[in-house]
Amino acid sequence: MSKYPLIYKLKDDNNTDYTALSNKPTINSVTLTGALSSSDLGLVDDETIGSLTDLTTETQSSIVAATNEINAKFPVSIANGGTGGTTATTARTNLGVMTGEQLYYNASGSHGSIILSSSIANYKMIEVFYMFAQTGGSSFGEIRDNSVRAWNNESSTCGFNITYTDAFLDGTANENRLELMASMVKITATSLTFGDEKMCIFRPKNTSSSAGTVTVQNITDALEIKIYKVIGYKY
Amino acid sequence: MALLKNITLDNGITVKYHRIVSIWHIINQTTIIETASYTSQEKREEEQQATQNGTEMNVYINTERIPIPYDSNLNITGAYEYLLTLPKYKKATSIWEGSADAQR
Repeated sequence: MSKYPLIYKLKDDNNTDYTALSNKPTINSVTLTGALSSSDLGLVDDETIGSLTDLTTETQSSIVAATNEINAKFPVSIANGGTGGTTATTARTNLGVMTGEQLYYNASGSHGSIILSSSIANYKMIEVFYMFAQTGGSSFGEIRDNSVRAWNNESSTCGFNITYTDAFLDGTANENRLELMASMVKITATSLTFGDEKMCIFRPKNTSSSAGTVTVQNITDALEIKIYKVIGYKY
Repeated sequence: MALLKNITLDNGITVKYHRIVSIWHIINQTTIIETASYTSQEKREEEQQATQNGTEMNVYINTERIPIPYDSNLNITGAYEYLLTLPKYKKATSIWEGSADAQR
């Protein structure tokens, strides 16, 4: 037998059995060991949330209440700088702004029947771009960027007149002549057709005649008015 | 159906491919045959594709409206037969649109 009594070593309070635990507590699935920050544990720092008293909403009782107050203001009315709508179509309608879609474009232009890519019944307004194409005679050439707008309000039919005036000096007759070309255009769904093209000629009195003349004739050859683009507008 | 024939217009442009676009009946007054002439069948096909796809094109089209005595029974076939009797389309070749004949 040893001469020294058996002394049981006392447990060190600073060295608990925690580290020996096999089932340590966790926060957000992170085991609580060592020095862990709130970020390590997935905890939101109070400083990133802010104080309810700093909310600029009328309601400051909770974040949920404040958020609901804000949501109630959508869609933002026109009076508050918004569009009053939750879709692009509604927004454009509320603001009275239409968008245009090209239904036909032929750089050469045509004065025959034209087929559109979509029915005019899908649009509020139709704009037809035409040009006056000289096929002979004087040197005015082609003039673009003339157009006619017609409100059809989603109707499947639309009709209007295209007119063009041309003034020039007729060297042969030695007189200033004014010509007015006109043609009716009718659109039914996707089909655009021309009516007869007419020319009204104003000839002032010249040195050899006693009075000026006005004549109206149908144009069947060398048709002057050609359509090169059609745009449909809708909200 | 379409007609093939080289026709030089007054402006110097030669059109080769001709088709009937529409037939108008003005009741008890007159019947009007509307034709469209293209520089080639390829240009007509370009027009068809552009119309179908809603895309742009650059196609020269010479149109003509031919008034004839009122005939309420005139159909497309009859209209083409009538065109072939005109001096302008005399000896033109008849084809079906999209046929291989038009490639020659």
